[in-house]
Amino acid sequence: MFNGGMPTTVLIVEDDPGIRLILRTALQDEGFTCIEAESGEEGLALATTQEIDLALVDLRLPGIQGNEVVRSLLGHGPLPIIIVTAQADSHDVVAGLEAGADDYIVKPFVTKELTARIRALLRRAGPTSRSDGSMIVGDLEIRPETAEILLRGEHVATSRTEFRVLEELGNAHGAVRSRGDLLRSVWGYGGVGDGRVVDNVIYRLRVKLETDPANPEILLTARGFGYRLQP
Amino acid sequence: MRPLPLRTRVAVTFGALSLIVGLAVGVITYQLVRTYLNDQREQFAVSRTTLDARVVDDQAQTAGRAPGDLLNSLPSTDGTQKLLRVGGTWFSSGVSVSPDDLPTSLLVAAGSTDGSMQRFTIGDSAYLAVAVPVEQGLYVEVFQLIELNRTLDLLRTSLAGATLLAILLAAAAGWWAAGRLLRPLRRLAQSADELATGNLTERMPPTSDSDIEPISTAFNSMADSMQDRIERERRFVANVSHELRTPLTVMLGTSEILDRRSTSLPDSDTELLTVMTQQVTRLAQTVLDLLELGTITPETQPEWEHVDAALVVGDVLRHREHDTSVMSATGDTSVVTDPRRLERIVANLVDNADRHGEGLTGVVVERRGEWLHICVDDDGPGVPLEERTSIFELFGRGSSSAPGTGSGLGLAIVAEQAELVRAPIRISESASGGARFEVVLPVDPQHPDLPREVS
Repeated sequence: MFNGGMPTTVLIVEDDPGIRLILRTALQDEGFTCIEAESGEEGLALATTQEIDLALVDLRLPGIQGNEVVRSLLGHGPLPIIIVTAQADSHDVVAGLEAGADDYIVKPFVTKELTARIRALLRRAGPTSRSDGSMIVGDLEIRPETAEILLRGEHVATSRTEFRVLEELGNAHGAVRSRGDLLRSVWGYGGVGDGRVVDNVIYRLRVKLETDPANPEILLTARGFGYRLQP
Repeated sequence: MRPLPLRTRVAVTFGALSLIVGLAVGVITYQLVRTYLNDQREQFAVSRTTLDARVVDDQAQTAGRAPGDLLNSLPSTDGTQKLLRVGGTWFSSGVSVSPDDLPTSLLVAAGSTDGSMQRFTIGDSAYLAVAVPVEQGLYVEVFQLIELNRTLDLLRTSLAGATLLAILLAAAAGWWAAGRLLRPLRRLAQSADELATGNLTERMPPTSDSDIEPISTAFNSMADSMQDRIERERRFVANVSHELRTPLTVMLGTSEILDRRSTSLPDSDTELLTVMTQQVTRLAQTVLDLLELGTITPETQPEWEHVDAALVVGDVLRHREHDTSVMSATGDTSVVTDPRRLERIVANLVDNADRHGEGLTGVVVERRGEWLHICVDDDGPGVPLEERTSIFELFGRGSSSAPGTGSGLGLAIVAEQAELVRAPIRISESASGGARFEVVLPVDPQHPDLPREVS
């Protein structure tokens, strides 16, 4: 996987040497460059000195916890992050997603599936192939060429996942998109997937866009169906 | 027959007790008052008549008056009629009672003694007659008893009314008291319900009532130990899960990477690697299934969403590299269900068809009324009638199931998940003679009265 001629660098934050070995081998087989950290502290230190394109963060770490690592990594700037967890139903996953992770993967995973998720996430991070110009939905302006969001003319910083969700909802022209639709088109899930991933991105977007995130006026919920943009 | 509720029984008992006491008091009071009033009346009548008879004797001897005048000269008393028999002739001061109405026994008894008294009635009116022999013949006074009877009637009515009122008051008091007593019990039931639905922090409120206090203390300490145990179990499962998943990930990853590089291995090692990959995959599946079975607890709630079931089935088929044309969908296939649970059900049924049913032959998604039927057909020997329940049990396998395939947990998970999304499951025969597993999803599972399933 090459990114403008340079190999894509993945930061692996994982305390178990066995898992690190598997991740490194599988990712190197796919052409990624890997940087490994045994703890959150080490990972954060590496992130300040090296160029990183994507991070894989285990949620259970000695020392600072995975979700704190995610928060700190994002403090330095936008970075696609996938969290690795042993329990899909734990509160850790929600905490990690709330901290700003784009996706999560549950142990045991098949490495093929992990690399597929990484590719889908990197595709989101790259420039969109669409060139249908900017879109105006209500107070929002969505500019696919530059991956920019303007709210009443003001620039809003979004992650690529957040941007892609807004773009998908914008393309629906005010119609409802279900969580399954968004998981398929934005995250590239083959199966049903976990709607909590979508809910978290929506939550983060509301914090950025709405005057009162608890009573959204732009990014609306169609209870039991999905989400839509107020045209 | 069901016994009456406690509260009703207490109220009825209070009422019955009050009835017994009220009746006893009423009857005794009435009898005493009646006897006393009658005695009073009779004594008055006798003394009055005796007095008048003496006047009659005096008047006859000293003044020599005629019997008719004699009666009129007596002091008149309201409602009292005076009669005098001289020889065979009756003289009377009024007309309301004729001499013929007087009871014969009275007259006979009066003749032989120095006076007699008797009650009698004419029509509806009651009278008391006192007869006293005088020198000229027989003197009789007739007293009306209407007043006395009226008084007694009033007394009877009052007593009956008071008794009835007492019964009602007692029953109401019983109802109220029982309600007061039951209130802490109701609170207890409410708390127990809360606990049962998974709210582990629910406790009885503190109370200063020394009768209730032991109950709420016992309940709260029970809830404490239950919460403690459940939380310990959860931590245990989480730890077990973590400790098992990490080595499984390494094992699965290793075999997957080695498998990709197998061209560089000697043939004999490739065979070993294949066996290891199969077994690791199976181990991983079994562990995941076991861990999943542990996650559904009585408090697990489905996450309802509007889903197109045909889309979910299609995803499952694609993920398993089946051609989606084996699925046929008719009618509106959108339902409200928990999509992750539905995916597990369909995935496990498809895997079951592939592993134990000699391959999936078709999936039918069909809307029938308020239900969406999903049928998964295979080409195997089918499931004999007697195994159609046991096959859903933990580690239950059909007699035709090949050893060494699957964990024996897949269908148990199906049963568990299907119950959670309120979908009955049936087994029948597929068109090709294999097995047909049919999941019947309610279109609106949250409807308060789920319609009866139509087949």
